[in-house]
Formats: sequence, C-alpha cells, structure tokens
Amino acid sequence: MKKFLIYIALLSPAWAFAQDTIPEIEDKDFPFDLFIKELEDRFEVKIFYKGEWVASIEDLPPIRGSSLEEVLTFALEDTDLGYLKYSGSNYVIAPSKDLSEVLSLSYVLVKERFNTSEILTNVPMLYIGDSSLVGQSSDSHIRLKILDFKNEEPVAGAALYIETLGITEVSSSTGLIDVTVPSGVHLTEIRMVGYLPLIGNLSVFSDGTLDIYLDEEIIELEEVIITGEGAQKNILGPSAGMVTITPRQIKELPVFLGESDLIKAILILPGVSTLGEGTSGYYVRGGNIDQNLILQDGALFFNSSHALGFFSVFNPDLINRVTLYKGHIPAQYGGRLSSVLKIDLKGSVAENFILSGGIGTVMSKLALETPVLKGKSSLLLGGRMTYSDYILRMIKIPEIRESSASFYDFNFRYNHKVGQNGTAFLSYYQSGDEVQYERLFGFNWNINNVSLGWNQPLNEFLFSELTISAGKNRSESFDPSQAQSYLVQSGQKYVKAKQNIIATWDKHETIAGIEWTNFNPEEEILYGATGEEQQRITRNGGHEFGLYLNDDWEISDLLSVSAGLRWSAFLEKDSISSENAYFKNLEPRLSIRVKTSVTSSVKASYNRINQYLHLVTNTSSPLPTDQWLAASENLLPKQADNFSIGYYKNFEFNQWESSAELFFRKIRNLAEIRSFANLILNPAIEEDVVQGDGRTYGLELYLKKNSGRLKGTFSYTFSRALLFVALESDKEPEWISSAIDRPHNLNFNLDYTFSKKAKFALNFVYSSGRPITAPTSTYLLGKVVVPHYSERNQFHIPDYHRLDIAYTVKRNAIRRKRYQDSITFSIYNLYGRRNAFSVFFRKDKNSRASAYRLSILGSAFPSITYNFKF
Amino acid sequence: MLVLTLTTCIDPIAFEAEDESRKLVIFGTFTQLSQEHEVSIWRTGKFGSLGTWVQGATVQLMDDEGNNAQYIDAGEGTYLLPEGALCGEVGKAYQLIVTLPDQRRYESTWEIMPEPIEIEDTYFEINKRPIVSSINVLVDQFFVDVFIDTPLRTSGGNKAFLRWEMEETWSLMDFSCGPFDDAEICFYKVPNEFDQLILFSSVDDSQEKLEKYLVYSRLTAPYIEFNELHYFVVSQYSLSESTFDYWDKIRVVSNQTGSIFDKIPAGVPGNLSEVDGSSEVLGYFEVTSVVVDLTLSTRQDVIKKIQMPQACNYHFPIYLQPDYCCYCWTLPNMIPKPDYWGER
Repeated sequence: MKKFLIYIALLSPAWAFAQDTIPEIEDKDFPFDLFIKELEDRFEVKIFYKGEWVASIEDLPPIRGSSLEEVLTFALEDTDLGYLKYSGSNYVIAPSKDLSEVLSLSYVLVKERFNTSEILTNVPMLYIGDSSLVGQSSDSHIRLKILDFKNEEPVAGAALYIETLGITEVSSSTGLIDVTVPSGVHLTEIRMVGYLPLIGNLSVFSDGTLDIYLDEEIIELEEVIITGEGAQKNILGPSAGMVTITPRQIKELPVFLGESDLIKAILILPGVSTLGEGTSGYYVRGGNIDQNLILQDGALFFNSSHALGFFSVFNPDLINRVTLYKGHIPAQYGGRLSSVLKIDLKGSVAENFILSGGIGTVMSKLALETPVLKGKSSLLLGGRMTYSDYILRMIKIPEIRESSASFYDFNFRYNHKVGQNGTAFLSYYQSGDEVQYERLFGFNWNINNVSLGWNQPLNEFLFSELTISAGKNRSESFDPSQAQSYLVQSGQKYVKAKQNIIATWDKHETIAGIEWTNFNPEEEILYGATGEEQQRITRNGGHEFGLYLNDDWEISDLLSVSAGLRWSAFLEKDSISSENAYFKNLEPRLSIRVKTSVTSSVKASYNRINQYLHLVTNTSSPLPTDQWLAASENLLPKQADNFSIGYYKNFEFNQWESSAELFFRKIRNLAEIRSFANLILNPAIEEDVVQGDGRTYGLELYLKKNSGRLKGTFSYTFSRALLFVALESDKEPEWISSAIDRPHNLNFNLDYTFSKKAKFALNFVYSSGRPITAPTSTYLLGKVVVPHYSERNQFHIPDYHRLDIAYTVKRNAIRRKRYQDSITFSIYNLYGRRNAFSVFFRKDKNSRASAYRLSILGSAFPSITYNFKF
Repeated sequence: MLVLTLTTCIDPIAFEAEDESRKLVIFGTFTQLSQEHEVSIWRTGKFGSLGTWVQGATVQLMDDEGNNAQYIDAGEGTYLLPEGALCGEVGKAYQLIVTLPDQRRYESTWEIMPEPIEIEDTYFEINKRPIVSSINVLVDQFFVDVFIDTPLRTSGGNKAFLRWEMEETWSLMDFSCGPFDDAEICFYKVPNEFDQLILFSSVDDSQEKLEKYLVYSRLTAPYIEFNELHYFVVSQYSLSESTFDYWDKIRVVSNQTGSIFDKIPAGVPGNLSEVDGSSEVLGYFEVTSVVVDLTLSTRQDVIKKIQMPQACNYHFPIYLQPDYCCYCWTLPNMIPKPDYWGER
C-alpha cells in the first residue's frame, strides 16, 4: 500500500474519552493490519480477513464516523470488499461476492437441521457426519485430520478450540484430533505455528472424520489475528519442556553479523545457554554439548557450530520446523541425556519456483525451491558461504592478514510424493570450516550427511516413518610452525536406520519403533612436516540399538499422559581385542499433563536415558576437533534420570504465555578429562578420563507476548551443574562445578513493529560468569615464572551481559508482489561490553605476572544484511 | 575467526582469586657436573609476586649408597651444595631432604640420574622475518635463531626426554677515560626473555635424530650486538620421563593465553611431599645429566664492530660521556668473565 490514512486518534488515550469525534491525521505507512488491530482493540471486537483480499488496496481514503460500522463502511467504500458481523462481536472482511455466498444453501441446511437461531457468518462451513443421522445421538465422536495444504503431510501440534464448549485439543504426530462434542454447530478455531489459523463453523451431524487443510502460504494473517502463534500449545501439549520454533521466530531476532541463526533462537528459551562468543555448541539444563541429540531430516549432527560457534551449521532459510525437547524426551529418541533438537527442512512439494538469498557483511546465501514434476516432486537447494578471507587480506595488521577463516554449507533435499498419501525425501548436507591463525596453528573440519526418508500411511490408523541416514565428520588440526610441524586427522562415521509405526486409535497416539546406529571413529593419523605418515591410532566404535514404545493418551479433557519404554543397548566394536563390551538398559519415560483450567496446566515428567558416546575435551571450551569416544569396559556409558515439573498459564486469549518449571537431573558415569591430558594421538585416552556422578537442577521462568505491535519474551533460569569426581588418582572425589555451571541466566527479547515495512528488535542477555580454573599465586622455577592454579572451576569470571538491536526495513511486505526484499541493520553488543571469555596471566613490563581478561568481542559489532525473495 | 581477530581484546583486570595459603616451593637441580648445585626454597606470594624466601632450612642430599651432603644456606632462600660435596653419577638415585626451621620435613622421591645425550651440533642463524611494529605495520626484523642437532637415543638405547637452557654472552670494551683508566673488557649476558620451556620427548617419535631443532630465538640488532666474540651456550638436560612430564605440565600452565585453545590448567604437583603431613609442596627436585655445547660467533662479514652503546662516542669530551662509556661494568647485565670464554 502506498499510503494509508488513519485516525491517529485511535492510538491516543484521548480516544477513550472522545469517541464521538475522530480527528483525521495522515500516516503514510500505517499498514492495514495494524489499522485493523487498533479497531479491534478500541471496539473490543475481532475482525477476520485474508491478506490476499486486502493486498489490492492502494489507498485508504479518509474515514469519518464514530461507530465501527461507519469506519469499516468508509474504509472499504472504494474496494470490492465488504464486511459482515456475526456472533455479536466478530466481524469478517471479505470480497462482497463471497459475503453473499455465506448465506448459502449449506448454511441454510445447517441452520434448518439444528434449528439454530444463532446468526452464523462468513466463515467456512465444516461438515462432519451424515446429516440424515442428526438427532439420533446428542454427542458425536469426531476425528479431525490436520494436514498441510501444500503437501498433505500431517500437521502435528495444531490446536483445536471450541470456545463455547471449553474444548481444547492438540493434534498428534499424525495430525489427528479425536474429540467428542455435542451434535450441532460450533464456532471452531484451529491454529498452528506457521499456518494460517482456520476459523469455521463445525457442523457435526454424527460420528465422522474430516480432513482439514491448513495453509501456510499466507503469512500476513499471522500478524493480523489477535490470538498468538501456537496458542495454548504450551498448555495442551503432552510433553513438558517441548518447544516448537518456526523459521519466522528465528528470523525475528536481532542477529550477529546480520545473519539469523537457529541456535541463537533457541538461546532465548529458558534452560538453554552457551559459554559465550566463540564457543561451540549449546547447553541444555546444565548438560554438556555432547548430551544434545541433533537431527536434521533424521541425520545425526555431532557438531552444531560454524566458525567456532559464531554461527550454527543449520541454514535457517531452509528450515520448516524445529522442535526442542528439553524436559520430557519421548521413547522414540535416545542416546543423549539432555535434549533433542529435531530440525525438519521444508518437506512440501513446491508448486512454484522460489529463489531467496542474502548478502551480508561476511556471508552470502542462496536458497532455491522448484518443482521437478508438477505436483509430484520438488527440489530444495541452499548454500551459504563466507568471504571473510577476502576481508582478512584487506586488513593491515599482519597477524590478521596472515590468518584465514572460512566456512560454507550446502543443503539439498528432493521431495517426492509416493502414491496417494505417501511422501519420500532424499536429503544431503555438506559443510566445511577452516580456521588458521597466523600460520601458527589451525583447524579444519567438515560434515557430510545424507538421509533418505519415506512416510507412508498404512491405513486410516497406521502410519509408517522410515529414515535411513549416514554421515561422516572429518577434522584436521595442524601446526605448520617449523620445528613441530604436524597435521592430525581424525573423524567419525555413522550409519543409522530408524523405523517408526504410528498408530492413532481412540484417544491414543502410539509410536512403536526400532533404531540402529553404527558409530565408527575414523583412524587418527599424524603426518609430519613433509607429509609422511608418522603415527596411526584406531579407536573403538560400536553398534547402538533402540527398541521403543511410546503412547500419548488423552485420558480425559483434564488429564493426558505420555508414557514410553525404550530398550537401548550398545555393543562395542573393539578394533584390537575380540572381547567387546556390551551394555543394555531399560529407559522408562513418563510425562503427565493435568489441565487445571482452560488456560493453565501442570506437567510433570520423568525419564531415564543412557548415552553410549562421550565427547571429551581438554580445552577451555569444546572444539570441533575434540574426540568422541565410544563406551567400553574402561569408559562406561553415562546414564541420567531427568525429573521436571512445570506450571503453564496463558493470559488474555493466549496473547501472553507463561511458565515456571523445576528440573533435576542425576547423572552417573559422567566423563571428565584429567588435568593435562593429551587428546591427540593418545592410544590410552580412556585412562585420562575419570568418571563420576553429576547433578543439575534449577528453575526456569518464562513469559512471552505472542502478538500485537509489541512482542517479546522474558526468560530467567537458575541452574546449577555439579560433578562428583576425583581428577587426580591420589585424591578423593569431591563435588566441583562443571565448566558450564552458571547459576543465573536471563534473556529479554523485544520486537516492535512500527509498520508493515519497519520493525525493531532488541535482545538483552545476562548470565553469571562461567567457572574457570584461575591462577591464585605465582612462583619461580629457575628462570620460569609459574602460575599456581586453583582446583578446577573454583572461580567464576565476571558476569556476562550484552545488548543487541536490529532494525529491519522491508519492501513489498503486504502486497503479494513476486519480489520481496529487506535490509537489516543490526548492532551486536551495543554498549561494547568486554565480556571476559577467560582470565589468564602474563608478565608485564616489569616481569611481574598480572591478570588479564580475554574478550572475544571487545566492542560493538554493527552489520548490514540485504535479503531477497522472489 | 574474523571477528575474533578483529575485535578480540586483552586488557588487565583486577581478578580476586587469591589463595591465602602460602605454599612451600622447593626447587633444585642436581647434575653430574662438578660444580655448585643450588636449591631454592620459597613460599608463594599473592598472585603477581614471587613470594618470600625461606631461611634457616636444613637441606640434605642423599644417594642410594647412603652418602649424603649438606647444602649451605647462602641467604635469600638459596642453598648451595659445594662443588665436590657429592658427585652426581649416571644411574645412581638421589633424594633431597629439606627440614624447615619449624621442624617440618619434606622429602623428594628417589630420582635416578639418566644418561646424557650428546649434542652433535649447535649453530645459529641470523634470519630476517616480518613482525608487527607498535603501529601495526609489518616490518622486517633480524632474529638470531639457535638450533641444535642431537640424537634421540641414549647410548643405552633409551628414548630421549630433553630440556634446553640457553645462555648468550658477548664482550665489549669501554674507553680509556684519562691517564689512570685503562680500557676494560666487560662481559654482557643477554637477559633471557626467551623464557619458553623448550622440551622434546621421543616417546611418540620414531626419528633417531633431531635436526635443526630451534632452542632459542630472539630479536636482534646484528650490527650492534654482534661483536667480535659472541657466545651461545646450550645446556641440554636429559630427563627422566617423570621429570619431563613435570616440565611439560609447567609449560602448559606457563603458556596460557586465555584462548579457547588453551588446555585446562591445574596446579602442578612435584616430586616432594611432607613427611608425616599433608601440606602441599610445589616445585621439583630434578636429577639430570647435562651436556653443554657452545658456539662462537666470529662472523666479521655480517658484524660491524661497535663496541659500546651508541651514546659513547670516542670523539666527544670525556665529561660528556656517560659513566658506562668509561666503566663498562656499570652497564646492566654485566657478568664476570665466564669460564667458557677461556683466554679469549
């Protein structure tokens, strides 16, 4: 819209006292949706419309009148739109021709059958059952199957509301909702994050089923509707601590170097943290980075970071949905103690060619969706690449000019419809990173993953999901300095197969399945200065098995249970000895949800999980070149019992979500590296790892405003992460802080929409300083000044805090023009806080040791990014 | 990495991590060389200081044949074993016993003197390399690099655990300032700012010989510093595996830069412990065999003969000359004539 004229008085508090006179003020950029939102707020109504209907409005003429009807009549005067009032306080704006169809035969039919005098309106009519059976039963059992309009895939987690009946239900992983309702007409809403809400008159004649298609294409409406994204899903979802994230949520955050990032998005959630800039991975509820199961299209990721943690390896432009399990972990997942991060790339069969991309300060990206066989198959391609080396070369500081840093990633996904309702995909991922500092030392690592999936309904109640994946991670660390020149290669390979059978029956959704993973570390090879092989070490791998059954049972409207049992086993594959270790365990999983009111619930969960792989690191923070070690007789699998209980409450028609959650985790056989252990080419590395108990516990508070001009989140986590280990063989075990023990974590995130074209975002982060092993005194050995260090993790570095802002200007945001673009200006670390990454000592000019802090980001970091889509 | 290199900063910080307990530090090296041997006894100070020395201790050296010798308190925490009091022999075991004035007694583990490994060659090069100047400009500068060639097996075929120390000296001659002052030759010892621990273990190395191994490097002004006579003296210490492990740990904690690549540091336990007590003792009693090799620079082709600092000008009146131009021993870092200088 080129220009909108609105009554700015709508925004003024004076409006409340002088509604009879409305001064006319011009605001050229005020968008239609916000205009409607203000009408809704002031007149206390809901107004529904589709973005495509209003896209043709170029100018909104001056509007006069004191009642809502007068305002709407005036606003729509020169358009082909009209409006309709229904149910007292609801209005619909729609093409006039459609409005006349509202009072259609079907409407009349329903009205006659149910003899309802209620005025139904211009919303879709949804019919279930046989109209000839009306009156035979007062209640009907209905089954709704929620499907994606584009690819007809089931939509899990969609919420159904029938406000007049006080019914709220959530669709299962196969998209099913089973509910018993009185026969009749019920105004019904179905909502799901990332989809256009569906509001319709559900006309229930008798028992029956109905497929409901949600359209994710029209993104504008998400910002129009008052009720928020995923409304009540937080309350009704059976799993405690499960969070779903959409690409939009990822992109709305202030970004570092102008690049939106998945891991940055999950960091605003309570219980999720990092050690700061320049560190790999993320931590969930005090669990180390290796305790997070990361799956993209079913493929395993052992490393989630590019550029030592400044970016994640996941391309946000290609993501369809992200699900994070950090409390209750259903039985179909295993092998990691703390969390599951499930990333699904866009799986729909694209109808149109879509090209999008971006040019940023250090990175460019391109994504392409295109049909292959019309309506049958499509292709998704995406890539990102840095050109930081080019910038480094331009810098006059020699150490920097002599350094190099780069990464790239590439995604490919082929989607294909199989038969009537089945889908299959082939997904491939490749990435590479290289970091070298001033010819002194460096790393490179790359990831190759491929997965093949086939999702097929077997009948009305059974659904099959098959995923086969394989991957290879390889890393090299090198030191090209003259005398000690070397290069060490290492890596891991895996093959994984997983078969799920999902049964939806009565009020159950049952998942039974089997999973097998072959973990196979690559040989560790040392090459000398001239490239000759000097040493080779083979590490043990193994086979991990999982057999599981999980049932989500909606016992009643108030009570639902998710219960499961997983049998897990690990067979070590010893490269030298034939005496392979074998471990097997039973892992019960349970989550209970009690709905305490329409807008609140209590959830409690318990689960036991075993992890048969350990990531050991001997540096201050994990590196991508660190070693993954398989469980063996000398390195037992770790096991966790996770407990959590939480209270969830929504306010004001789900505009506000809140939660408070307590968690406790008890861990056995946690692996910690001994002091001074060497990881590289250490054939007896297990001897340098000590195992002990661990425990994490804490409280998470969360508040989120979902909609309106101002949106945002606030999260606070109190969390402790402790270990009970003896780091030296001659010492007794004792409780020490783990390297990620940061008791206080706070995240505050705001998003303010000035207009459809412009928005502002702000992000504030605070956390306690991370534990470090600090020098407490110094002494002299001959000519060498030696610092004496404390016990491990005895001290904390200064607290961390940071403020980021971003301002985004969009073009063609409302109208459905083919080409859309935006520019984002952002400043990371606005007030230039020098957050200490570490504290260390070095000699000053007088040869005395002094404490110094290393700040990875020592200043504010501005950036600009241009994104486009057509 | 780009961000790291562009915006990473290091600045001083007041960090409160002081350990109030003043830990005892005992450090001594005993070799097969017939010379004085030294043990220093200190208590750690607060972070940044070197602490306080311990006087009045009784320090005794034992060997595995029951011989013992007493160290002499030389003051300032230094205890000296007179030359010849107990001679070090390869293959014999030695123990250090320290009794503090409060009668607390500390003993080292028994340490066997390993076989020495001869240095095949010591040599130096003047190399030009770029460095970053104070104004962030790349400037070519001269470095003096000292290398050694050495076998990686003892004569008995054992693997090598080596540590090196370096001493660099040169001579200079002052002016004759007046009829009663003769021109004197002084000996300057270069302050060892190359304080990195240089270690090498052949445990994971299949090589038989270490060639052109850099043991010393520093920035130099060759046309000023290199006089007619310029010595590099390399001491190559053969260590036991446990002693090597100790120094390797010391190297880790001494080279912390605070970066993400740093190994997790920790206190480094030595080989001394309290008898009938549990107080922590830092330091080490190192029993090692050492070979010394030296190389003499007479490279007239690259060295312009400048004997004194530039402020000294023979053509200026004497009263305008700084004192050190006439009395070179007043310059800093002057030492008595080293033995290896001989009759030169």
